[in-house]
Amino acid sequence: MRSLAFAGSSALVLLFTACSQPVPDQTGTDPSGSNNTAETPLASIDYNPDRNAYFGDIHIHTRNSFDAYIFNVRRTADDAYRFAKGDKVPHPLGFDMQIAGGPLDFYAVTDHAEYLGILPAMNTAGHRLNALPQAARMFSSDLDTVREAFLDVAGTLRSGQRDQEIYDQAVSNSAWADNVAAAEAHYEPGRFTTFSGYEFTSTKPRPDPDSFGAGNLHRNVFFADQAPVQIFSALDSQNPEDLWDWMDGLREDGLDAISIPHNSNVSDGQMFKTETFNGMPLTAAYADQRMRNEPLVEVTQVKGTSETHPDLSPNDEWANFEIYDRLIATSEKTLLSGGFVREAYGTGLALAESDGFNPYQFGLVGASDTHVVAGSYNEADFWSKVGVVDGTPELRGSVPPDGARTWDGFQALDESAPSTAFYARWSASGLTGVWAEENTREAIFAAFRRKETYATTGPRMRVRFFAGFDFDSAMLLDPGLVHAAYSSGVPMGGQLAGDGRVPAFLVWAQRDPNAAALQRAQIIKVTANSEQVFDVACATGQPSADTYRCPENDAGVDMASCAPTGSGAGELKTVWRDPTFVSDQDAAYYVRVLENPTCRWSTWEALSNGTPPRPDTPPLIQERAYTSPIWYGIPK
Amino acid sequence: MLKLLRDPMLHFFIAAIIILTGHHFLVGLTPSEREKIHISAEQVDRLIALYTIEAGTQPTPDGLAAMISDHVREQALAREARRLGLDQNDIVIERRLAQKMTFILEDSAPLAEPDDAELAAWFEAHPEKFKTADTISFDHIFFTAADPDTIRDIGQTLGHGESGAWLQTGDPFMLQRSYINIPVREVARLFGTGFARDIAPLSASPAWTGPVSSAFGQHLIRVTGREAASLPPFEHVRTAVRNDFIDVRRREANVAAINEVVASYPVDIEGLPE
Repeated sequence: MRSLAFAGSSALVLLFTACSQPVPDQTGTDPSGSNNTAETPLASIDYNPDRNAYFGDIHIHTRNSFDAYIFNVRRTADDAYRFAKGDKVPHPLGFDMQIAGGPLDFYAVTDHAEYLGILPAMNTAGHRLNALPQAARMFSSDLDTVREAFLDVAGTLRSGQRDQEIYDQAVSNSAWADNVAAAEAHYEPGRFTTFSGYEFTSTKPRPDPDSFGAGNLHRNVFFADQAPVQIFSALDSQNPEDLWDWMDGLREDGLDAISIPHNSNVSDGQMFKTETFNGMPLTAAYADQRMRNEPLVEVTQVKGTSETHPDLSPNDEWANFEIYDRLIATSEKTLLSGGFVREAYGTGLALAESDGFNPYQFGLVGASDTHVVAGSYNEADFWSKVGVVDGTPELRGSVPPDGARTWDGFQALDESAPSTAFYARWSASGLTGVWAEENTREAIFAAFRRKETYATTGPRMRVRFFAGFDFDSAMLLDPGLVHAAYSSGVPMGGQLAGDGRVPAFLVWAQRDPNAAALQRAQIIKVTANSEQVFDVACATGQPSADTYRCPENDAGVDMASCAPTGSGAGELKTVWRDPTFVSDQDAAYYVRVLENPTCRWSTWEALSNGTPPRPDTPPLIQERAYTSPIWYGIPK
Repeated sequence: MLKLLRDPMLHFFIAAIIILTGHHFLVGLTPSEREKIHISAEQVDRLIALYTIEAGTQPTPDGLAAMISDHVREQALAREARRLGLDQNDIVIERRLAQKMTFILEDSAPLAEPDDAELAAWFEAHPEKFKTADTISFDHIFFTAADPDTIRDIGQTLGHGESGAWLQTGDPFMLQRSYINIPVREVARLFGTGFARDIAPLSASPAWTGPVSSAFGQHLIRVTGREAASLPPFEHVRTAVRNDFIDVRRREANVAAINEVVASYPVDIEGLPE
């Protein structure tokens, strides 16, 4: 609670500080006579040296984010954590949100650092900021004035120049302290883990002055345990390298942190390019600093998929999945190259070959990026992201407007309708899986550092992935399989040092018992100049030795009810060797697990409404998981 | 007006203005003479920019033209509607305003932190809220693809023994082989609802029963214990009691705030059936 000592004196801080202190021993009233100091957390009863899978969402906005408050979001970080633990929390439009699939194991609120808590303060009678002319404009009765005031604030996020009049470090520090206090209050070691975190909302505008386009360079910053009193925002510097300098400094003072980039898919090719923010050549020092601070990347969320794009991966039949490719706040298409993780793995391997360093040896996580404190992960119960602008099926374009029963002649299917351009393309995704010994900050943060993580698009499938030289298919029947794999191999996120032998990969995926069955497990191999998708385990039959594809299974969906039909696998398990293996060629291998097809959220909503699914979105999707890679290479 | 309310962008403008200024929205508007609807270049820029911020995409030239002409049309129609007093007695608008006012009122009053006596009283008054869940303890052996008779035979061969042989039996399982005091609803989350339902009637016994199907395959089951829900001592659940207390009080305060507004209006209802 060190940060709270400096955190100002808002009532909320005091309140949470008070209730997170141990309650005095009152064993006199306890008939068992135990000397239990109440609320001392139980030791983790599920501690497992071979690690358990835990699921969480680490990208959550609350009222303290300026772009949530303006959309009527009034819920707090406290509400966010209560939602993750299973409580019902109201949506800004009044209905209750409750998490699908039961409570999560970990959760982190990540409000925008820029103008953190400023809009709520501007809208609080009696607050200094409420008396500013900008507050009167922001909350004016004149439409143009509100528009102008909001744009003034939003515009400074593009320029990186603070609006000095409303910028108030004390207010933001206090809002930050509130978020930190909520994370402290809700942390229950062994049962539920929280992290203090925030979003660093940096962009890189296109040089063309007539363009609205800017590459998204947003990152979420997470503290291992203790948090600083003041955070570093894109209004301090738009350059992520300055953020890393700040994090390096904190680490020297004993506060460890990592940052996780997201929406590289709309970074305009900036996220994984081969030069620095200021256009200088990459160096070994850059790669070291980036990997020290950014071991992970968020690969799936409400604003689409950052794994790859059909134009980058023309031979991947599953690449066209929940694609969103417009620069945020424009209709300009993002540059693809430099924006997707699969390509970045290849870029990193090429840099390692040519220059001896790899800045792109990162693992994968998934999250929602919800702005209504509650992540929406279930296709059958979707409430989207923003609040009052996308909170109903009609607003997000899954049902015809104005009560129409068909889509015939609906002109708004063109790009000028926000639902078409934007909300209808959003995704009920995603979650992070981590393999950790127990559900504590220490164990989960260590898993982040090891990159022993994977991303899912919502379902809680469990995926194990190991590489070793001594694996064989007999081990698949060994009850001590996982222990053996840890002992003689490396898990996801690891590096396998080549010695001339052919490595083997153990893939073991288990379905979410409350979601669809599995269809196939794939290994995706990336080298400095190639990529290839291999089906390695199939719900039905074996992958072809020629095409590396599973036979089609009989899975489908009854479109009258969205009920799944046909068969799938409860688990998929195999030991696989790369048929294209070249011993002196470095490569990254990661697993992608596909569920059987299910209805997309837009189809569920159309079904409830008794109207056909909108014609320009796919009616079905295949939910999936992506693991962090294992890198293979012969040590130089 | 209906169309206006359905347009997401204008929906936002209206929502923002109504939320932020409350009832001043209506009070501040007087029926105008037919003032010129002037759309400046700056306004068009702002229209584009605000649109792009909300919509995430820039309008096409055609789309922009349509937006501007929509905007002008809606301005004209809205002004005309107000001039004619059509905004009065419109149930859609009134419901919307009432909803927005509710948002403003909610959570507006700070709540005092309850003391221990209040919390203890709350705990005693609502024991059902703080009971632990029904739990079950069990061992299981997993089979991906054996036939039920074979599995049953394996179970009988294992018998009641305390030996560790069962740990080497069956297929590897990704979760645990033994669960201690796991809430029954957690069993459904981990193994699927069918499995949870099927093991619910099993009582503790040293013998293996099954096979029982899960989302993953077949299982032999040995229930090792059950605990019915119980009420923990107050000190162990003080935080939960406090959170619940605050939550309920907050909801009550919200209702009270609304009631206060309602009560400030004289109400006269005629024609109610006796």
